[in-house]
Amino acid sequence: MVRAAEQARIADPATSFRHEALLYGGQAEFLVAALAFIRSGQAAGEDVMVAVGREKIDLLRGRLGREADSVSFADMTDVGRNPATIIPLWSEFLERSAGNGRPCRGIGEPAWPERSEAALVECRNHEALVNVAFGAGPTWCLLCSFDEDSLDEHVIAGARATHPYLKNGSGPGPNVDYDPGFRGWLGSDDPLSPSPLSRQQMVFGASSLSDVRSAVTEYASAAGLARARVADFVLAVNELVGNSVRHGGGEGELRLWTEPDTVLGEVSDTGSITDPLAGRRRPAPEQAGGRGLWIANQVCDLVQIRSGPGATVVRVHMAR
Amino acid sequence: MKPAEGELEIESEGGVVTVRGDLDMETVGQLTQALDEVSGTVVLVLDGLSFVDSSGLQGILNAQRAAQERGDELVLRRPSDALIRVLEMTDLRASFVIET
Repeated sequence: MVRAAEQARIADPATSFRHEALLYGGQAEFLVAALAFIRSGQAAGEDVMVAVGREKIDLLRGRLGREADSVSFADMTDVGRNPATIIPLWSEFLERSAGNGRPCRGIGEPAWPERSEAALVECRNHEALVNVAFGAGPTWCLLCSFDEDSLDEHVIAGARATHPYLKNGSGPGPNVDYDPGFRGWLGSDDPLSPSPLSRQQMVFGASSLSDVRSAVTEYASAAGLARARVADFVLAVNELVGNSVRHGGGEGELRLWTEPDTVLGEVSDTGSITDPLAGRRRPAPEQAGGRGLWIANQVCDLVQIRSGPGATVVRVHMAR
Repeated sequence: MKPAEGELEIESEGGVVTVRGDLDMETVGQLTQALDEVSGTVVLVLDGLSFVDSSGLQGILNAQRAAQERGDELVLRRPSDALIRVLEMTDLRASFVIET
């Protein structure tokens, strides 16, 4: 529940970032709202980017006709398959628009009912982190759409908790259900599901990186991952293990297991990640180190971080 | 001849440094050491680089900076697929002189 003081903290919409949720029932309702949002932006000379599913992209292109030429479209099921890569997508859009000297707005739909439970949790974490990433920055507007008809109630509740503004019939208004203290995985007591007893497990230290890679290569190959995907999975796990060695106390534990459609790797150590946006900022060329989580996010289908004082777990998922 | 699993093999001759095997946190020190002894423009021959991670990448970045600081260049010759992949996903491909 957001009290008056918290309402005041939702800063002046004219001069700051607006993170709005659109809860819609059915494609027609989405279409009407999205077209109005896009056309408003175009009328104001703004750059517009729309990152939604293929079907919605086709619908919008059809309706916009020639006007679609000035809109950037991205297939969210592709660019946002791993929700942790969505913030950098918007960051780059923001930078491009600023470079063009134009304000901007975007529509994104990161959550869809076919997503796994774990991915939907990370979508919610992503939405909370959008507020962290953009809240104190330049003025722009991001509208996130959620299909109330097909998404579970807890996903809709998560949407309500993570968006300071809610779009309704009469225009967007401050959202009383917004929880400004929620920063995704950081400080949350939302643990990962337990790994099964059938898992393979090994401890590692500084001198065993290549042993770890061999074990992961063997496991992932036997689990039926294609060769290029095995290489990506091994790279990601290697990055997590390297982080444990470098930042997490010098050693840790690796677990490997499978779900029907997925190979999973999980690295635990006694370190602590305190940056909520770790792995979600594109590394600068001159940056020294700090690329491990970014790399894991690029190659894996899902990356989940849970970290507090003295304990970090990073779990990566690779679809088979 | 490929190096043993997890190992890095370096041959250095007149500014041309051939690197084969795995370049990671454990082995990157060997590369740094080998390049310390090279002056002038450095050509890293990398088609035999079977594995490279962010630590290995940092080693290559450091080598480039060291070369540039003394007024020279670093060239990546025939980077392996593994290296290209990591360069592209970290937006560094355009930062290097690459020779095929």
